[in-house]
Amino acid sequence: MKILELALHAFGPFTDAVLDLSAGQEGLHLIYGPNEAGKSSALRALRQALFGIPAQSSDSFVHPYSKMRIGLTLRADDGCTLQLIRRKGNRNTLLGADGTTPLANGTVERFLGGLTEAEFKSRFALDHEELIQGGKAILQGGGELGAVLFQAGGGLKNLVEVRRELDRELDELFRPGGSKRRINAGLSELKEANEAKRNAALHSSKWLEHDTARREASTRLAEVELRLSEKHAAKRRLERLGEALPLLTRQRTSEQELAQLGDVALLSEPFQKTRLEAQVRRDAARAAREGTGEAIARLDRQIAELVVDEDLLAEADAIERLREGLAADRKARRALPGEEANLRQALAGAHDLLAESWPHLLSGSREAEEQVVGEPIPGGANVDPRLDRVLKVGEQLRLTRAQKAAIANLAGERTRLAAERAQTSARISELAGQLDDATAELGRLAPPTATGPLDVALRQARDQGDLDRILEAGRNRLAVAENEAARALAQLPLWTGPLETLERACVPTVETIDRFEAEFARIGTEQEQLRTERRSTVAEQAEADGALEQLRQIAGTVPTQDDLVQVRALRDRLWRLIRRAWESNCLPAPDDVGSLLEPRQAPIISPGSLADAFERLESQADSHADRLRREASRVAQHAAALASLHKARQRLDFLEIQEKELLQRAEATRSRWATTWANLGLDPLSPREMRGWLQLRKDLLKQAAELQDLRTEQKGLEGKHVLHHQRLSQCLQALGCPSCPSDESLTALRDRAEAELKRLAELEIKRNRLIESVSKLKRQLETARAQDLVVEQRLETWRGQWAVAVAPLSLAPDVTIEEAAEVVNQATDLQSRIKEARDSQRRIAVFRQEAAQFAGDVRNLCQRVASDLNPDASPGSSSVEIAAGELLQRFRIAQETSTAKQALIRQRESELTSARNAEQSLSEASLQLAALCQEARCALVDDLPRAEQRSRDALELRDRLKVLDEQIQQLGAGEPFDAFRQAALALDLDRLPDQLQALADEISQLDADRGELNQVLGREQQVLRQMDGSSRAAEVAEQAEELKARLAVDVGEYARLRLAAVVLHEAIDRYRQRSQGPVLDRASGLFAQLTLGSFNGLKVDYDDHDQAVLRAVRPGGTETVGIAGLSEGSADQLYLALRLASLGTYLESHEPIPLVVDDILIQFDDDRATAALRALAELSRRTQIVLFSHHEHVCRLAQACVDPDRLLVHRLSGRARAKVIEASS
Amino acid sequence: MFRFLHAADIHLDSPQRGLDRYEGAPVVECRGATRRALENLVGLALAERVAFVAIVGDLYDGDWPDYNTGLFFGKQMVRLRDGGIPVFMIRGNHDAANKMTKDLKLVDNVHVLSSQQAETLVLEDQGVAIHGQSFPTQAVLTNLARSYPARRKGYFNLGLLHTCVDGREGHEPYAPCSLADLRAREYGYWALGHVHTREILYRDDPWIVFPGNLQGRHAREPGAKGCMLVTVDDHHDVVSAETRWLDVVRWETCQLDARGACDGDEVVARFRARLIQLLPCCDDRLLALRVDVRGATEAHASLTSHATHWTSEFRQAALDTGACRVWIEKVLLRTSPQRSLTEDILGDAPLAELAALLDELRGDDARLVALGTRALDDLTRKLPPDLLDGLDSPQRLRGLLDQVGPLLFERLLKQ
Repeated sequence: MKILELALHAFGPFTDAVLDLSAGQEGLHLIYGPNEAGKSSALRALRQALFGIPAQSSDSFVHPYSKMRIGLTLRADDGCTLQLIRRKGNRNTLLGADGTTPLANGTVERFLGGLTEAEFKSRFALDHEELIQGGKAILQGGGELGAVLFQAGGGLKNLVEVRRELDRELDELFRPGGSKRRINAGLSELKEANEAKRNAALHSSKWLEHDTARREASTRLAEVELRLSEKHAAKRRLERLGEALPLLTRQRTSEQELAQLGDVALLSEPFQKTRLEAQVRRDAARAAREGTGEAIARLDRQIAELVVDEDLLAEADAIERLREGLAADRKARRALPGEEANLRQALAGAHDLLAESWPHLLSGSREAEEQVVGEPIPGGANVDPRLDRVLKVGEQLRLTRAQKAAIANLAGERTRLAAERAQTSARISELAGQLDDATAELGRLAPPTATGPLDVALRQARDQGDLDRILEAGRNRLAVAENEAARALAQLPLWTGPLETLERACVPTVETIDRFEAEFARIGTEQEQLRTERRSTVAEQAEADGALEQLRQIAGTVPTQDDLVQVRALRDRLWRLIRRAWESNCLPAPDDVGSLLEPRQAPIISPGSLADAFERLESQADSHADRLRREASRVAQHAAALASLHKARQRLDFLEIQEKELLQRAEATRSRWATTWANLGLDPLSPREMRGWLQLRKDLLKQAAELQDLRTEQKGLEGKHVLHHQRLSQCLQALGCPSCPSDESLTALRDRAEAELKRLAELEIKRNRLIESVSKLKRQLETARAQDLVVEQRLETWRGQWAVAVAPLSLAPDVTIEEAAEVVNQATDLQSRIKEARDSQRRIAVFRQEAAQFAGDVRNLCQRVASDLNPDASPGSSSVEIAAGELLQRFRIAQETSTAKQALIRQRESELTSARNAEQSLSEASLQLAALCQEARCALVDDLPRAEQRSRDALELRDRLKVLDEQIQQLGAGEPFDAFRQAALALDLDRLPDQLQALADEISQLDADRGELNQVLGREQQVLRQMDGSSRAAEVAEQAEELKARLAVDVGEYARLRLAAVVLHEAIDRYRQRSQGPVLDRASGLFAQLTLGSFNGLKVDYDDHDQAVLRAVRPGGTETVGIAGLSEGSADQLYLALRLASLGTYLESHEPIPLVVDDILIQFDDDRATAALRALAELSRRTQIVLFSHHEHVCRLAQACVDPDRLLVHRLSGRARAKVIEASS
Repeated sequence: MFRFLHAADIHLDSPQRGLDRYEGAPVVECRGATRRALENLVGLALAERVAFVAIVGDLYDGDWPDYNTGLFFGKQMVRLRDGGIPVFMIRGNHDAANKMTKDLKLVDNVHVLSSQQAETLVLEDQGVAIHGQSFPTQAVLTNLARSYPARRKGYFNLGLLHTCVDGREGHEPYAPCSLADLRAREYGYWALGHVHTREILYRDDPWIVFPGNLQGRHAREPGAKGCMLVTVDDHHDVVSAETRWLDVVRWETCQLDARGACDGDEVVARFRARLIQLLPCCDDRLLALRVDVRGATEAHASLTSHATHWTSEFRQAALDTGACRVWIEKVLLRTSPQRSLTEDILGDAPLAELAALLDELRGDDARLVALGTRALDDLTRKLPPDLLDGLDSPQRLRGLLDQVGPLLFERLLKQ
């Protein structure tokens, strides 16, 4: 994958800034930005474009969350590209190039081969912090090779920490020999809980034991209680009998005394008291009888002395009325003068009103008028003629309530009508004015115009959209596309002709190229095979030669079967010659035997020489045969070597022929390959390269096709533009607008047409509004005039009603409302004055009548009961009042005398009753005393005290006997009396104390037993009560279960963590085994490079625990340094070396993923930074590297040390809100 | 008409198992649940004025040594005696195994049927004939039902039998019999015991019922627990057999689907919502809850690698939502990742090596067990057998291995 472009539409300080990362094969893209230039933002943007913007973002200080957008263009290794826009949000944050269409989740991940953000960050992102951490972790890890490789291979900077954390967590949970760790402690607690459960459990046998003990104690206690009760009873009886004995003696004595008293009248308890009370009553009655006689005589005398005036008392009702009349008479006398003054005032007021408002009604009675005002009214007159006149006139002017209301209503009505009238008149004049104005304005407006054609033309022009801009954009696009196509064509290798020729040229198909490629590959493979085979055959030959030489050197010439056969053949031939010679007796010819005899050049043919020769050959054959047998193995080796040698030679010959053929085939294929491209005039490169060339050509052709499409499209657009321009300008001219210059833009023309249309439309609207307004005003004017007429008619009606209403007040019909109201008020005032006068007149008459009545009553009463008082009957005389006062005085005295006499009479009655009572009491007391004498069997009252004494004595003795009886029975406690008495009488008093002591001893023994038994019982019951079904053991069991549950959780956790630790350890070890070769080799070189030769490389060693550890090798290769001995800087470089080495190894077998590096060179000096940049540049051959840096010197260093084809520097502008990102290479 | 209660498997004082105590857990409220369930049974009998109570075996745990348990039972029976309610019971396998059974003196209203042979007790007032036989020993493997007496005519015939019938998973195959054996007796109601899950094997003519145990004791005994309230009419026909829930602590498992959840907090939020639905179902009882989280989720790595933390979060959610009524027994985080970390993704990176190693171990039991033994030997040697919990078995180790991967990946990749 490669990142082609990072577009910072709205992110951090950036607005529509674009970072073009497409250049270069893969390339080392150095993105440099000084502080505040947004380097960090750009780095974040790159990551967040891939994996999403986090919920809390610090890059929203210019663009709010909702506007944040990052664009990214990626190219996969198969050539397909993805253009995406990342927005901030919760869902659908990944959008297509248009910025609106959501892309499916996982689209980016597919380009990244499924990497998650965390994996990406750990493996394909490297920053300064990680470098430092990684270096530290290496130092902390002590150079454990596996951990170092594992950590650097995965970018797992916290591996050491993770392992340490796992160990710590495990240690917190459990330690084999520990006691305080959670699981250790839990196990102890569980043990204790189980112990506690056992202790808390109640065994059934224990319960049964205590229950039995309780039952036994209970039974024995019952027995002891029984015996104790018996002994107590016996003791108590003896004591009772002892107590009863003196009582029996006293009983006998009392019986004797009673017998001595003889026959006695037994008197009841209150006898003496009754007798004494009767005597007292008798004596008191006698004294009372004498006292009352004297009192009665005295009272009779006092009654006779008192005299009462009964006649006067008989007139009590009349006297009461007299008292009331006297008070009323006095009140009337005081009120009369005031009332008369009131009457005069009212009459004068009424007269004044009449004279003021209605003088015509009073005319002709001047004197009467004066009289009314000047003279007092005579006291006794009942009818006053002056008053009559005023009243009569007033009567004429009385208005009913309805009449007053009618006047008031009419007055209100008049006001309303007047107001209405004024309103209608005003409205009529206003409407008339408005109508005139509207008509005049309508007349001034210009006539209407037809706008239809312009409207249509404009709509059509608008339907085309912004043609100017589209046209311009099209032109630009076309120009860009043309440039692109020209550039691409220029870049197409091997080709110098025009694009059209390239387009038309017939090129081989991909399949043809594949075929050639396969063929070349086959030839290559075969050649390689042949070469290999040849090498091995030559080796075989050399080996066989070697073997022969060796045999030769060890044992000289080795006999062969052929040698033997050859010698034997010679021998046999000679024998045949010898035989023939012997048989024919003729020596053979020298030619026949020449070669067989010695010397060969001039052999002497003789039987002897023949025989010698035969013997020699015979001996030679035997010797060969013997050697063959004796040196059989060497012979075999020799034979085998010879065979191999022969075979190898044959094979070499064959291979030579094959190679020649193959060369011919290769040449033929190459010539055919060249022929295939001949028509293009090209000298083709390898099929693989030509496939790439074809792809480039295809892309170029595609570009050309697109270019053609663009041209066609552009032409159509130009045509449309001219058409719409013409139409619009024609229509505008038709409407009288000035002619349009042909270079005026369509947009301006359209705006002008729109403005014209708008102006005409507004004019039309105004006209319509005015016409409507005129007709509406006319209608309103008519309505107002009709209303005015109605008001006038209602006013006429009112005038008639008003004349009728004011007539009773003697007013003219044209009187004003205010005047009428004033007259009505005066009439009302007059009526109230008249009413006051009438009331006063009535009250004066009543006063006078009551005074006369009172005087008459007084006189009549005096005639009946006090003829000495004869008052004067004239009105106003005071004698009546005096007489009345005297009468009241006399009546009070008569009442008092009568009361005193009545009291004396009641006292006398009381005395009489007392005298009767005393008599009665005396007789009753005498009778009671007589009865008492009879009861006491005495003749005289004076004998009674003695009889009473005898009776008391007898009763006392009886009581004593009774008490004794009861005491004895009580002591008997229910035992039959006689039996008890007999037993008591039979008691031996002298032995009694001994008997009692014996019983007491037994009882105390039994008491002790009982106490003991009670204690036993109580104890057992207590124990059993404690065993009352308590749930203690069950609770402890539940606690133990809880502990077990806790332990189960902890054990599970421990097992999980422990397995994790063990698995991690094993994985680290395996990774080490697998990767230490390739990664370490690569890292060793990088480390040497990065440390500028301070170290020669890396080496694996083993520590005391046989664990593989990494050591750095000093120059020279002999001295090594343990990782712990490295400086921090070297450790950082070691980490970087391992990291880059792992990545390099990865890239060998995987599709590339860009590496994002952030300011890792901060702490490197220039030389080491240069070395690191070179290492990165080297890696950028295989994958894109995006290196962010704040430091300009890094740029300089990079430009100085990295091949310009490989390095692409992008400068983030330091100016605020960077719009442009410069790129240079 | 009369009514009676049918209860079984009271397992008095058997502790609640598997509840790990934590801050805020309703520890006190959970204590003595079996006792309180028995009190509830007695209370129900008194309130419903039942004619008698039938207890069909396993009153105690077989290995329970505390005589106080028997005394407590005695006290409860006294309450029934004071209410004039007799109790008929047979002994089950656990009772037969417990020594306390022989020693305990029962109140005179409690009648235990013979263990020598099937016996019939008669309640003349209600016209009930109760047939039953106690377990003489712990393991009774004969078919006891066949030797039960024939039905008594003119009576309501009630059979008490502690049995597994024709076998029930998780229960010893004691006193095996078939439904046909039981029906052949022609009783009106078979009150069975031994199986802890409520089950009506047959309705009407006759009723054959396992009432289940009175109180669940661990997560494998979930749901409502109680007894049967049986109403019998004057014709000696069962009118109704209703369930009455008497448990104090209700055991439930909350199956939580974590699919689609983007993080642990969302999973906890889902749990909270589920808990709100669950709570009303158990009235005001305590809820002992096992949470079983499954499904492929983004939260998998976090959940499994920080299991302790998330367990606490679940507990806190329960505290917030369920006041003090919920005890989270265990949170099983059995989620799976949304995508597997394969070698393809990671290339030949160290993590791929780790993933490959995990895969190999997962597929090779022998190697896995060897690794487990090597890693855990120190611990397992110290653990009592009941805490070993299969740590030496490949299944358990595989389960742990499923969590080991995410744990390591999460921690190693943490930024």
